[in-house]
Amino acid sequence: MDIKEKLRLAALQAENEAVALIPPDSEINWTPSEAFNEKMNELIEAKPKRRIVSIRRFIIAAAVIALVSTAFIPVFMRNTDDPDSGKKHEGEVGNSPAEDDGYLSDKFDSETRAESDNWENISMLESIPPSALPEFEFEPEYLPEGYKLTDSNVSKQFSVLEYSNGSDVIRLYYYDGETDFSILEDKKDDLDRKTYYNNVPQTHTAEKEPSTDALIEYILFPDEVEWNECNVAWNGTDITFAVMGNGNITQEEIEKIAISVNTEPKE
Amino acid sequence: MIIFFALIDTDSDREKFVNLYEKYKKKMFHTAYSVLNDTYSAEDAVHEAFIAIARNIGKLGDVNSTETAAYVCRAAKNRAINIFNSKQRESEYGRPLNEDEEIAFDEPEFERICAECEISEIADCINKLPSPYREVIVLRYLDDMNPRDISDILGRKPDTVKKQLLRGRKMLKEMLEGGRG
Repeated sequence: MDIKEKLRLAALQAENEAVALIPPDSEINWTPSEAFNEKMNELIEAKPKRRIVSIRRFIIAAAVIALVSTAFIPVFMRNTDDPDSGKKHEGEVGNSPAEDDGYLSDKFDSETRAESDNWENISMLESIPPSALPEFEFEPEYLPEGYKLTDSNVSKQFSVLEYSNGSDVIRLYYYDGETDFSILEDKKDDLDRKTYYNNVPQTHTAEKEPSTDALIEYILFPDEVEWNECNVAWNGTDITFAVMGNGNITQEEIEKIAISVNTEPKE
Repeated sequence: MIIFFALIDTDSDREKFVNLYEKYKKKMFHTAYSVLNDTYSAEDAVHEAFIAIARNIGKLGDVNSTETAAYVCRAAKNRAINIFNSKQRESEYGRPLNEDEEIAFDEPEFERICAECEISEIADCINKLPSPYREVIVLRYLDDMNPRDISDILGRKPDTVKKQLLRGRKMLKEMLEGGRG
């Protein structure tokens, strides 16, 4: 028997002996307080919350939001900037008459929303002002030089902040719920906050099925979203964060951003 | 306020958790009270311990096993120590050690002595260690935790934990040597 195992067994025996010294319940004079009983009942009776079971779904939801933004913002701009002429702006989505007639919206309704509905019915589109988000600060204290907030999509349960330096993009995702990363807790504990890394392969495919020991390695992006290389995701208390970047940003910078996100509740 | 959604996912886990609660709540309270000497703080420690237990309910074995009993009581004690330390940094349970103190320790010699001793001898000596050292030794060897994890659980500085581990093993070695001498 090696020394480590011997010491483990000795520690176990020591613990068992210590427990044996605890008097029987009948001799412990304690009546739990009302507050204690209340808290314990709350713990015991809490209903399971629907949770994201894989990061893949999480990312799909993010992609859905991105698609929604892509679909609606140009339509909105066209309607507000140039209401009379009907001229199209450069780079607009919606070049066909079908799109002008709300084709994109219909397409979203019939396809993308169906996907989002399947995705645990999270009401991602229920927009609220950013100031109402959270009891969490969420915004990072660190951003690489030149990056500014370029877009945000804030909802009660799922939010995205997008930062860009004009060419590269960083996105921060916030989900009000706990993703099941616990399986990885023993594996990557070099950073505070139990941050988990992934070097996503250059080529992302959706064929691979998630497995319990490769949850983070399975951060996948839908083919139409060309994110690559860098990302970090981790659990807060009942919340999940992810930071992702594309372009020239490095994994080190992504990690630095992740660490700087304030996950503490607002004062 | 902490929201306890999703800590216990299935009915069988919930049943197991309730059984644990009914079976060990008083023992856990007694353990926490022995550290904190205050009813409400001890209840807080027990409650926090049950939150940790709920998170790991699936990994726990038989409710009636000695391992489970030891685990839940240890959870309560560790939470109690953490609460105690947060209230009183300069305490028996987290007494800062002299950072500059050099602790001479001969690891191969420690292992050689352990190899010669019976498990029960080592267990007796572990139980005779002063509380702060006993706790870190148990977490290190029984739960296979590194100093950083131990420092999180007990609310002590990592450097303090490292030195307590070193000093605890040194004391253990001396006790084992003395017992055999």
